Amino acid sequence: MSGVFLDIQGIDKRFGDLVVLRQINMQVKDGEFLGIVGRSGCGKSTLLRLVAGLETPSAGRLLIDHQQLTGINTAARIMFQDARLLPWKRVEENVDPGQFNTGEDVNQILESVGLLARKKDWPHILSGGQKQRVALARALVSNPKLLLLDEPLGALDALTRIEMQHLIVKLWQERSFTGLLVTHDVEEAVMLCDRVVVIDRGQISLEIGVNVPRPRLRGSTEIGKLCQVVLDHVLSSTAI
Amino acid sequence: MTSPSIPIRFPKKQQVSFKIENWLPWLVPTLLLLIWQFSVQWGLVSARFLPSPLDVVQASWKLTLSGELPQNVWVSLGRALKAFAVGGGIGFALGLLNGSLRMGEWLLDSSLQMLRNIPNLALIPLVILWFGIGDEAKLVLMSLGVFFPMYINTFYGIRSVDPGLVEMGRVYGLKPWQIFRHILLPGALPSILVGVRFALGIMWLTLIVAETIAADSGIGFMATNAREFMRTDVVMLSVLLYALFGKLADLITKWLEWFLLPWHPNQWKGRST
Ligand SMILES: Nc1ncnc2c1ncn2[C@@H]1O[C@H](COP(=O)(O)OP(=O)(O)OP(=O)(O)O)[C@@H](O)[C@H]1O
Ligand SMILES: [Mg+2]
Repeated sequence: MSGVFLDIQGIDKRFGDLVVLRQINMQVKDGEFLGIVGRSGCGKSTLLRLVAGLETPSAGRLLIDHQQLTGINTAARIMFQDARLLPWKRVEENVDPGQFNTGEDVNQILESVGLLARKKDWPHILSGGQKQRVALARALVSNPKLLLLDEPLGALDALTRIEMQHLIVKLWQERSFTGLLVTHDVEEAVMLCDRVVVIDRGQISLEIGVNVPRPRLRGSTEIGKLCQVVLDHVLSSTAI
Repeated sequence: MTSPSIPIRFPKKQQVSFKIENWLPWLVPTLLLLIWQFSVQWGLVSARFLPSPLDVVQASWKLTLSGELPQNVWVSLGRALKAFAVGGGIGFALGLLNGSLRMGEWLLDSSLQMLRNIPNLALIPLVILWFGIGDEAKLVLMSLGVFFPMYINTFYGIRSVDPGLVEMGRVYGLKPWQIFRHILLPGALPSILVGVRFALGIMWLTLIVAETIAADSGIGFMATNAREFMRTDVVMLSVLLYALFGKLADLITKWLEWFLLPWHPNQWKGRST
């Protein structure tokens, strides 16, 4: 199993008169894990939606393994900012709405997110964090080559959050998919990713490599320094 | 092995049934029934004007024995079912079609929305002119009445499904028919069942009117016929039958909701799994 090479060439995205993304150029290597941070409304979700093929760029091109993307990106699984579970399907059916995987796979992934015991439950009785974990399981169950995470852990408590971060890293190391992680949490981006970009007013304003071997230590000076650099940059960026 | 002493404990259900709130609602109807019975029996009200409950029971018994009652009930039920199948079926199908495909909506929806404003009972003279007073006329009238609530609620049911869920389905590789089957249809179901409830209500109303105005069989005919012979007991029986079937329809929709929407948070008050 492997990932894809993502090549974003001069992408603009406008909604009517509103320019959300301007001249985005970036490349994500096969198997790389890229973090995207930025202020609320700076266009992070829009960028992920472009990569997923849910929006079409107003200008520029998006290449997946050197093939221009048209329509839905079938190599990608996106985990939306909201869980988007189907209320009329039990947890186990929600993990695999298209029924592409075996029950075995579904059980296994539910086990990893710690929800195997809840597989027969209806989504509406789950807590916000549990719903997000089901969504994460759904994104991962079919071994995507490209995983797009839009603030996947935003609704989780601090402890579960750390657990889920470990889980994501572990699965990423096992399966070596290409990952894009959008997050508000600078430390999360630095802890998880190979590289972090900051988006400011629709443009990439900072790009910084995280050359720290894994497993990474939360309190280490290297991580702390990098967090500080990124955070300072985000704070100095313009609020919309 | 010695049998352990079993503590005497009533199952919860049984305990509940002795509670006052369970039988209190029956008190007023029972009293009314008794007052009714005795005021007729003691001549306070003329039996010609208002038959006593026992008279009604007797009448129903006699009519059942003569086969007249089952025959008429059967005819009325048959009409109702036919109309529901035709009108409801077409409304449901068009609602699904126009709800899922923009093309269908553009082509048909505004026309249907215009026709919706015509009350189906207003068409009675026209329908009689076109179809006479036979079963066809009733079928047309009732089907029209059933059609609109089914159409509207199915259409809006589909439209009200969270577009985020459809988007999720697309990214997760669901084919269009899978999106329809697993996302749009179940998402629209609560609204569709509201449509069924409305449709059944309108269906009974139209049936009563149609059978009362022009029919040679059915519950409505039984009532009109009885009126001519001053058989108030039979008239009363017909009214009760309509009420009974209305209630039955209501129970059926409740049961459908319970059966088809096990996931719905509203259902979770009295359900264990
Ligand atoms: N479909 C759309 N039509 C019009 N405007 C849109 C649309 N989608 C996004 N926008 C606008 O684009 C801008 C960026 O939105 P986006 O959701 O990408 O922000 P974000 O960086 O993900 O913010 P947050 O961190 O709060 O989730 C916002 O101003 C938003 O209003
Ligand atoms: Mg966002």
